[in-house]
Amino acid sequence: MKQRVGSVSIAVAARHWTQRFAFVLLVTFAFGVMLVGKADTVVISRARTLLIDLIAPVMDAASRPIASARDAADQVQELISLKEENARLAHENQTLLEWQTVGRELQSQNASLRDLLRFTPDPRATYVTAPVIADTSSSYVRSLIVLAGESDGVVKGQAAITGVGLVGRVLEVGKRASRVLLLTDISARVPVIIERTRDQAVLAGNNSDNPELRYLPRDVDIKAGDRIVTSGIGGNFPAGLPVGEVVGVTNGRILVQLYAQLDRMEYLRLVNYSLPGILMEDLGVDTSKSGSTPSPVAGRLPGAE
Amino acid sequence: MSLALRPTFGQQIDLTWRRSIPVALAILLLFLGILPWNGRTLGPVSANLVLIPIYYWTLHRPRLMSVWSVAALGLISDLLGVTQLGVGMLTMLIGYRVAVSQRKVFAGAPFIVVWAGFLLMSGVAGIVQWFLVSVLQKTIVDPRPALLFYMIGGVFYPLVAYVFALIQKRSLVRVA
Repeated sequence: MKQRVGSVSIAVAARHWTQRFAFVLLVTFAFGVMLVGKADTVVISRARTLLIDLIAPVMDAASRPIASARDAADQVQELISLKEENARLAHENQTLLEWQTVGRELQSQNASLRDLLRFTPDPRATYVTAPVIADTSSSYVRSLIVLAGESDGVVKGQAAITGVGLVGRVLEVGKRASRVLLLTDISARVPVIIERTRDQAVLAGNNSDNPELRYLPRDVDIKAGDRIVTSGIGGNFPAGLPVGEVVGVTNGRILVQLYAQLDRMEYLRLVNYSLPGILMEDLGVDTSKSGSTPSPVAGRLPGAE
Repeated sequence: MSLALRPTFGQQIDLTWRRSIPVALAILLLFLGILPWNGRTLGPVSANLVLIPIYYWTLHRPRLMSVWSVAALGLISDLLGVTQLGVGMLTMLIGYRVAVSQRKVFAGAPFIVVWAGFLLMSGVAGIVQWFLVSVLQKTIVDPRPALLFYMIGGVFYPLVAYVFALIQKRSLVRVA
């Protein structure tokens, strides 16, 4: 009997020590993963894209009822605010008609100036429209997963836009799905320009809803409402993509409100401007091939010619 | 006589699936958290929601939530991009360790004490995560979003724990 009690206590002690050893081992492994992840190796990138590809069909199926419920809620909300919406649209229509006149004048002026300069048109932009199937944002990371990947012609570094402006760039590309790093992520950096003053800056994410402008000249004349657009420096994005507008200065930081509503995105456009940017060249991506495989949802950007 | 006591193949399958319920629920919560809810309410809280099953099952069915399962959950979270690589894994392991060390205090205690235990565990995990992210980013990151998500996780705990208690009563009574 004594022998049996003794063997049981040895087994319990052995189990306790095994668990403690496993904990130490796994904590060490986690630190190792952290260091490897910091180096951003191909193995980690492959593991991530493999997992994204694996869950993409499930997440796509699971996100559809949510999208339907959201559409229904939006429709109810639209019905409630129909009268106000009508008045707003009538006013907007009036403004747009005025802009149409201005636009026509500028178009003819532009045509003659292009003719004078023998202007070379921008490279042909192609895009893939992809539904958002997962929101992998957390306290310290801001990213999304979209249902479009390598087989649809998506390439790492492409711009992710909505109808109103830039929202981020493609970070990882799987066969069927890709991860998009949002402009609000703490590691996101985009070269931008203040449209009114033409001052260059870098838009840096800070994990809040309002990214900030950095590396501006000291004597910059900046006001709330100033439009921020991409500068095109670095070659990843073309110049002039709308990003957002300045909302104010808080604690010496110039904050920007993005045009895109990051909490209400159902679809994203992943745009290939055929620009041989730093990101793609660094990765050895043959940019001449990117976007050449048209997908069922791929098309031309209106007005890209 | 001993042959009669040996579980059949069907019983073994049943037992295996019952034993996998706690980890399966944790994975389910992780994926529910990353669905595109199009709001800042549930999505960013996903990593904190996974701490709920880790804490609950460590207290009530410790053998069904092993340190290996916790590490795997953390790694999945990291690979999905919910947390920076290695950070989610380490955070969950530390949270698990806190739960294991306090199991004797919280297991069988009144619900309010168990709830306070979860707040303690997720608080420690949150501080570890904030520290690791700050080191990796080489800057002191703003802890306020994490504080908000910590509170949301705390609010969710009673509801999720209630559902787990129902599942435990229904499917895991005789499963150790």
